[in-house]
Amino acid sequence: MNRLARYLFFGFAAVVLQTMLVPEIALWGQVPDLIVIFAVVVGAFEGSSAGCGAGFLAGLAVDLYHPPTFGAGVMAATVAGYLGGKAQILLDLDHAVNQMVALAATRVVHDLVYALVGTVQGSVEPLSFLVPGTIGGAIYTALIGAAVLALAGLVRGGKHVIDRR
Amino acid sequence: MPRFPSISRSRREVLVLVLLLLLGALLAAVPRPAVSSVLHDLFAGGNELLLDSFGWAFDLGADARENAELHRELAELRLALSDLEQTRLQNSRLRELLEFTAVRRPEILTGAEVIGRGDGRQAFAVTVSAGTADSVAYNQPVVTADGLVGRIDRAPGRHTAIVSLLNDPSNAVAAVIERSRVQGVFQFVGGQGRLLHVLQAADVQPGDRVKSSGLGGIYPEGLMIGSVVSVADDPDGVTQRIVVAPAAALDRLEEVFILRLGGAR
Repeated sequence: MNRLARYLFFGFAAVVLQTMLVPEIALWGQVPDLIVIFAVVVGAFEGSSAGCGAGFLAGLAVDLYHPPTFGAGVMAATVAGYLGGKAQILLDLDHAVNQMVALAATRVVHDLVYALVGTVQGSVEPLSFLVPGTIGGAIYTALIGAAVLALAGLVRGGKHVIDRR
Repeated sequence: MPRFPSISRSRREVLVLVLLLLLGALLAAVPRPAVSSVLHDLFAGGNELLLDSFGWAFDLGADARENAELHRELAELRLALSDLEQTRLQNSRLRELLEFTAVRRPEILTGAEVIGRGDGRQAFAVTVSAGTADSVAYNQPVVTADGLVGRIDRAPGRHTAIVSLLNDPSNAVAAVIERSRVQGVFQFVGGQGRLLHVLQAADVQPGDRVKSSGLGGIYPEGLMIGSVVSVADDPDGVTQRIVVAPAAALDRLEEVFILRLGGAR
């Protein structure tokens, strides 16, 4: 229960920061995606199912804030949570480099899903969405996410950031 | 109790993913529902409430950025102000030069440096670095940016000339009070610059600027001679005793301009 409350709190914080703070910390037009980070962290710590659920809820919250792409963020973040869980199994996420690779790749897939759904919806122009922001945003997300994962590992108090299953 | 078949963890995860994606697809497919708008409004309201409660934390960051921006602007403005001051001073100097050249440009023959003092008459003459090669000739007026200095006494060499200064008692300049247009003759008498032959009824006051009138035939009109220091009635009962301080520092000359003779306006 405590853990659920903790994730709810961090999910809420991620949504609030994503909608309010992230536009303020853009570097050369590139922004990190805290929802991706949150979903990946939950997926890495709790497994793909939990990551999917976390991504779904966080994506839904952000989509509610931004109705034109309603649903696209939900699906993209759900996939991100799933990939977070898979990355925890496939990669050694104890290492920061692996964490960043996983986060960057997840961000790219997230953006692809988002662009695909948004294009079907008619709310996203895929090239103008993907070309300027995906690679830079992936790098930015990886850097922020690695810091978050390191912090999460410290909070958990273990030597290993991710519990291997 | 029916018993559900057990599925592997991996399949369960994929199942969850697919189910949630389907749900997401449904959300994406449904036209913008009224409820989403309401939720959006609620969410935005919550955000506003959060901002109202904790906005100061964000304001601090914004204030810091604004502060840094203002500091930068202040520095830029100070630099610009410094530039403006430099420009103003330069403008003033150029205006001074322009005024000088506007009045006398057609008359300037050449510039010259003071290379020696006198020709035996000590303080009454200087030697300058211009001569016959520069078309320097007898009686040509010599000035500085401050005012009249004297006239060419002679040019003994191709690159040397003797300037007879204003304080040479043998020099006299037809002069006029700039303010009242009272005319007289400027000449050094007893070691003092004096404006002579001015009637007692004439309007002359200390501080009045004295300029050449151009009537003498040597010096063009409008050259600054000096300022009136004191005014008193002369014992002769007819004229005034007007003391004039030369504008040019005759004892500290370094560079002078020689004007073309007959160039008076």
